[in-house]
Amino acid sequence: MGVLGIIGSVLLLFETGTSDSIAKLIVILLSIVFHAIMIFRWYGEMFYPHRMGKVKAAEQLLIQFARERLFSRKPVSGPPGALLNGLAEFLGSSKTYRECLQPAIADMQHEYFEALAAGRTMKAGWIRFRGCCAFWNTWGLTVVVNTFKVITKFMAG
Amino acid sequence: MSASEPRLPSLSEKEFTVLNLLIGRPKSEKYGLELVALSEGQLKRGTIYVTLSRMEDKGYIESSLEKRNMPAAGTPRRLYRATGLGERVYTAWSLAQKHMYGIFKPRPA
Repeated sequence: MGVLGIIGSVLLLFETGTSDSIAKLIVILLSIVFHAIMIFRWYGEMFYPHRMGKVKAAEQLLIQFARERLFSRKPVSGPPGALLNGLAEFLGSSKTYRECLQPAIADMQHEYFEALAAGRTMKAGWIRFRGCCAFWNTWGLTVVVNTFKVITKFMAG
Repeated sequence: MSASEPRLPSLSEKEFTVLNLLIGRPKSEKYGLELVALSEGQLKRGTIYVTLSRMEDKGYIESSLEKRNMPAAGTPRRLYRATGLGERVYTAWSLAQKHMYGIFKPRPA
């Protein structure tokens, strides 16, 4: 599983050529989690061999779930980012939503549907993930910029 | 410079890149991710929308939602184009850069 984690991370980074630092960080964190699982499994096999049956069954379920999510070609039930869109509309100011957050979601959805139309399910999944990272990145940056503006105004009197 | 004098329009490196993409290429409306793809790594997808929003505030660009002929899934994209002010600032900035480069060109060793 650890080796798979490394291969997956390297492939994702080089295949897409992404420059999104948050996306890279999350992929590296996922790789670390996979390594932790591998070490945990090795530890269990060494010291708790009688409990390994349950761990293996759980792993099989996890793999089956991932396979179904990644490779199934079920029809799309709704556009990705619909939840984020609702959240941004509800929590963000109307200007932030209109100028920063809504365009980020719209572009991600368009890119996602293009990948799906080309039959690239894995790429569509990656676009969705990267789009979510870009969305949170944009929102975070907006909060920082707006806070800075408020502080500057306050300091200027 | 006194407080009553108007401030010169400022243009950051990223804003210059955006205007270059909107004006320099065949002039057309472009959406956020298209600008990121065309910039060859100069613009990032996490910061492009904040930059575009700031440029809209400054009056360098304007935006509108894309028009769709038929009903489509998802949110309509926002298309950006340069304004007259944006074009003038871009031209002035390009000229200034050209002159500055001529003055401060590194001398051959």
